[in-house]
Amino acid sequence: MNRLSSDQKIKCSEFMSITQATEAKAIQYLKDASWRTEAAVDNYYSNPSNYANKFDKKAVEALFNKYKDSGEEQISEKLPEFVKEINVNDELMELAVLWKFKTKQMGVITKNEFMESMERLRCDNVSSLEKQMESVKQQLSSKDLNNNTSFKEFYMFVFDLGKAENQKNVSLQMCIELWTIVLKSKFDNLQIWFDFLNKHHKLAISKDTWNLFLDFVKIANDSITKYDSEGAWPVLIDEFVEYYKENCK
Amino acid sequence: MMAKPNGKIQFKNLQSHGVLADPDFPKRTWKLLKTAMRQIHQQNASNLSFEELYRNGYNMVLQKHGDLLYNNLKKMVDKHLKAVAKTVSESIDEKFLQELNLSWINHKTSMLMIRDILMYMDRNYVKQNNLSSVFDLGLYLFRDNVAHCPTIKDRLLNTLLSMVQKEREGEVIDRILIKNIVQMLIDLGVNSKNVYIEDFEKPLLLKTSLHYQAQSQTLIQTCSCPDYMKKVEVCLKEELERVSHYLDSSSEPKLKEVCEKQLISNHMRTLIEMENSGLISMLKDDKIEDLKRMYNLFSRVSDGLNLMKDVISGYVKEIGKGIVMDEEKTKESGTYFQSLLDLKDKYDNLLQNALYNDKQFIHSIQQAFEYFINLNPKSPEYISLFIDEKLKKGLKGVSEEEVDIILDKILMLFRLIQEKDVFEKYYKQHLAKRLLLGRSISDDAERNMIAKLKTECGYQFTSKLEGMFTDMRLSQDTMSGFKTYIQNLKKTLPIDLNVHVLTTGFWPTQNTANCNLPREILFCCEAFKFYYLSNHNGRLLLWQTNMGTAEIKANFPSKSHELQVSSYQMVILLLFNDQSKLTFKEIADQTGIPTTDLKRNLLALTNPKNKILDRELSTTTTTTPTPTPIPTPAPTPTPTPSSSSSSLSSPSSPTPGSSSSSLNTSNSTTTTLTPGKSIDESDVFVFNTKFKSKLFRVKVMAVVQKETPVEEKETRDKVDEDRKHQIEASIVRIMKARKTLEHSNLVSEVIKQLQSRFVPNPVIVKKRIESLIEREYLERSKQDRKIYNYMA
Repeated sequence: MNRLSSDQKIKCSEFMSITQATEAKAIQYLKDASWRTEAAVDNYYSNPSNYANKFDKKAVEALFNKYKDSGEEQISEKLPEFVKEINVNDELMELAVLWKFKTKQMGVITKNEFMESMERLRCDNVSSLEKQMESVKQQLSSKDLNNNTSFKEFYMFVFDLGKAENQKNVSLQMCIELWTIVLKSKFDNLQIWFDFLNKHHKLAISKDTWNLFLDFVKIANDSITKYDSEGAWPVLIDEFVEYYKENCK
Repeated sequence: MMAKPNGKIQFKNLQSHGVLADPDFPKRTWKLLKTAMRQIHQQNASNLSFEELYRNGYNMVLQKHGDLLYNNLKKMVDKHLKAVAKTVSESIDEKFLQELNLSWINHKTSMLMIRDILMYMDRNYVKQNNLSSVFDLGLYLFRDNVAHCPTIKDRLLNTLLSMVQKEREGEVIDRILIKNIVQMLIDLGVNSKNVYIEDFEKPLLLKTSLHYQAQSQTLIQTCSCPDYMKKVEVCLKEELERVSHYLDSSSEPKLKEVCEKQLISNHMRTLIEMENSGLISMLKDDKIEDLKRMYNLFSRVSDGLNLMKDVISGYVKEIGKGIVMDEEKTKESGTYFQSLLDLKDKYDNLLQNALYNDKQFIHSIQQAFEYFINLNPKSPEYISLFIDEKLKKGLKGVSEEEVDIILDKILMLFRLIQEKDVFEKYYKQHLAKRLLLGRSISDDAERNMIAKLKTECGYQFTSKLEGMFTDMRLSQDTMSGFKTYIQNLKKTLPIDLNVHVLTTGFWPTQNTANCNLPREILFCCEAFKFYYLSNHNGRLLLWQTNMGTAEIKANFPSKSHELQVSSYQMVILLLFNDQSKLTFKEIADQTGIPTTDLKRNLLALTNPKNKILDRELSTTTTTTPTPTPIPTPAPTPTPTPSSSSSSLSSPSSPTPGSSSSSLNTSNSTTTTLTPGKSIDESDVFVFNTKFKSKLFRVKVMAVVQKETPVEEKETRDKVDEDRKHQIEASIVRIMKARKTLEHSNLVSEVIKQLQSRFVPNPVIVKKRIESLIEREYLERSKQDRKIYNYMA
């Protein structure tokens, strides 16, 4: 472990905490996957000899049944209790749980989603899921947005989650709520952005604008003066920069 | 030629025999040569034997005494020239140049002779040792001893310069002498012109520069701009003559440059900005000659034309802006546009006659026009109105060629309009009115205009306009068919109906609610509808009652008249057959005419000029017990619906008896109503029994109102909506062909594609791109958000 960089060391221990593999194995798999933890984990599990205790479908199903709604095959009513059990207690992480379960609907995990996702995550009990979520939390809370592909994926997922049925865009109000949760610690001028939207836009937000806003945040956090108005940004963001320059010097 | 070989043999003998041994030979021979040369220098060479001297020179070289010979020659000439210099410098001022010239001529002659004598040395010794040839040696020595002699050099220069100065001041000088001296200086440079340049040209240029600097200063303070330019022209001409008379031709560009710099470059701005006579006032007063002069002069110096061009285009912009922003002028579309045309004429004339149609100027003036024409958003509408005016009456009695010229001029300005699509909208509206109301004076002129627009903007632009003409033609056929059909039925219709069937989409659509037509007319309309649909199955016929006209007979107490009215007016008037007095509301309810249109038409009917209806302002004073003879408008109205492929239709009225129509038009074309007398909804209307008119046929014009702000906005919105579609279509077209494209390239391609119709705002283009992304026609590249991919 001596010859590893600090970043690699973190990934290594992450890998080991997920897979319970030995350090040598961890390094080997990570190296093969060029230090992409997720890929390495996938590779690790695609080789059955790596995990002795087989995935226990029955246990997962039992877990599901514990929290499922009385009428339907989904977790919704008891979702708060479920997330509490896996030690998730802020809104950002609640969304992250939904992200990890690839849910289609806000606040609802269907049985299918639950079963498939647990298997994909290689979790058949609460404690392993809790560990997973712990590592997810670390990934998402990284301040460095530029290299944080997990966060980007998560961010884009959140938009789809916010969509009402059969809608392409997400209502402004919903967007503002979601942005508040997702970007609270990531973008300093979030409130100015909301003020601008409420004053001048008032319409729903398109996926394109949502996605590019994250790119914009990366630049704006650095310096808004680096903003290139010729950079094919959505008009809304162009207008915001104008607004910002006029109002917040 | 035979002598030479003989001589050679002889000399060979000499060489091999005693001569070699003679140690005194070089000295002796030189002495001989020296004496001869002295004589040459004294112009006393006639009794010298060239052959003997040549032989001596030859022998000297042959016996390796070349260096002695060469150096002695040099010393000798040197000494001689020192004496010459002394004589020259001692001469009096008036004779100085002559003396110098004379000594120069003598020197040249002497040196030529000496060169001939020492020809053999030149060919052998000199060449082998890389020395200057005898003649050149003479030139160098002359240069150093005479021309550069301290007592001569400056004096020579000053004399020359003062001669030139004298000539500039108008005195006559000995040009030949100067030419000779100048030639001497050139020759003294041997193979270059260094001596000429250093000793004369440079100081001359400096002097010239100073001279014109001073002169131009005085001139510019005392003369007006045109006078100054005339004087400059003269100066420049004189300087050029000077070169051709006594200077070296290589000096011409340099001298020119110096003069132009002092006379023109340094004063360009002052000249242009000179009050009351500068460029602006020349433009104001059409001083073609002066402008031409300025162009010619300024074209000589760098940036001159640019400066001129900028000032002109700035001025044109200002003037044009004055026109397009002038509230007074913009009120009357005719004068507004006429002033623009006049301005254009003026500058075309200027370009042609003063500016040699210089491309730069054409371009910059064009740009200036483009700039201000587009400043006023109403320009497209005004152009269309202007054409409308011309095609309605302005071109009466004008030959076809002249019409063509006028239309071409209009098109020149049209070309500069950026919002051609707005123009198209208005043109369509105006054309529709002309066609349906039969107001166009010449079908040929109409078609000519369309053809011109077609060449200008392409087929797409005019296809709908052409469709309108086709509809008109087809309608005629339909009508004659309809008439035969009626005749065959052996029935007569109560009224004479004329229908124009208009294709939806070609004509400006007006979604107006239909008014309630009188029974008689409805009957005719149904008959037509039946006939039309039996021929064209599956079409939908809608009546456009707002666009029709009618002729009705009205029996007034004095006499009966034939009234030419719009369909709406007809419907209103027919109500008075049954009742003599109607409130505004009653009319509105019974006719179903939209309020704004109703007001307009009532205004026309109550116009003091043709007061067919009278209005009582308040309902409270019911004074008239209606003993008035009820008018019996025996209607011969011809409202006319129209339609074809799908829905649109409009009534209109080309009536057969047009014998007196010209009389009528003169009577009533100017029925612009006096404002202030607007119709109020509480008004009550009665049939005006006191109506009188000299004419039998009375034309009641619908009040032509300028577009109301609401309509204006509607037109604008329609245009914007159309543009959205066009921009999207263009984006998709481009992306379909390119598959992937970078943002800025896409935007510029779109603008390029559309600029023949309008210039899209990049922000709007961007919004359209976003919208297309949203609808998944495009996507952003995963790697770079600036790159778009086309999604098939």
